[in-house]
Amino acid sequence: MEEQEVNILLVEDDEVDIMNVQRAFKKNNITNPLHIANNGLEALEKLRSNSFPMPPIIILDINMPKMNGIEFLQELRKDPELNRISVFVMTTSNEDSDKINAYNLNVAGYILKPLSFEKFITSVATLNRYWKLCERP
Amino acid sequence: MMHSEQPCAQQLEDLQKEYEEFAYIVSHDLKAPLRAISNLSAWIAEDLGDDLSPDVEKNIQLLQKRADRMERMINGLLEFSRVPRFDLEVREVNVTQLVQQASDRVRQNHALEIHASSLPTLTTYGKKLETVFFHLLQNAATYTQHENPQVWISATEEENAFLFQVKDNGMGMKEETLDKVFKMFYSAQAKDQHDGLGVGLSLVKKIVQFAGGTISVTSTLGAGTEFQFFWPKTVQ
Repeated sequence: MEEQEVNILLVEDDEVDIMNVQRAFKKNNITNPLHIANNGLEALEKLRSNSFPMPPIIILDINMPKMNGIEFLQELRKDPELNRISVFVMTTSNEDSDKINAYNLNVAGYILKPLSFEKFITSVATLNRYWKLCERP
Repeated sequence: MMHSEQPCAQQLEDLQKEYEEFAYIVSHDLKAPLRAISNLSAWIAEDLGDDLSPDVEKNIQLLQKRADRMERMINGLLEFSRVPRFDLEVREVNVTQLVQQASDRVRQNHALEIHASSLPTLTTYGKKLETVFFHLLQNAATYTQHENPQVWISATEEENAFLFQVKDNGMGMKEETLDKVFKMFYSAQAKDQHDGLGVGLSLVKKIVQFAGGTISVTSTLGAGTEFQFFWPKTVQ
């Protein structure tokens, strides 16, 4: 059976952080299709318009304009079509309150954005092992 | 116009809250562009590959070192703003053991001989008191040229507080620098001579004040420095 690569939706507003993820993917030889939404509203629109194979895995930034990460998670968990999607939160926030808010909304993981790119590559490699498991038929 | 005590206390509390929020927001929002600077400079070096001239390489290394330093400064600011909100657990603390833990952490990177005598056991903010000892010991281990750096720690019981004394045989400080050492980001040494950020002692003062105590310092250039702080026996 041909292996179907899971699609990844990155919800992030900062251009350099998007480049960061793209470069980390390349370094880890991750070839999964990567889609970008710049805020929560845009992400919901992309998910509801079936613009890529469902379900994807979501990498979510918390601090964003328009609809922030936590608000997006609340919407996502309310939607019967979308509420089972795996979400990884990726943020600079090390505040317990943000972590608790995220875990209450059932996230699969919490990645702290480190200053060094090398550390980020390691985090993404770990993620890659996880979604390889998701791809198994 | 007369102000009663109540609104004044309220005002002080509001001001304090505002200040803490400010420090928190500044520290978080400053990190995003800093991370971008650090990443972009690494990518420029990576993309230039073999075309990277030694001059450019050196400048990029300097740029990244400064970005790292700034991140550590921001972390210091963050830690400072967190003093009233974090590590608030109150437990019975054996100060001898606490000093042992703090010195184990310092000795991972520095040589330091510690002589502790007649230290008490009290019920207080354990983690905070450990942080105070950690930074005082770290300070003693960093600012020394002595071949055998040593610290003497003792305590005297007063009516409502313990008076702790932490004395070292380090390089000491000039009289005129003494009142600046507790200031944030102040360092008596040139920045390229050591890794110190000037965060430790300001954090120590903030914690001691939070616990309801006071701290002072005396020093003799070339002979050593002594910190003395009062730490209340009970938590209010």
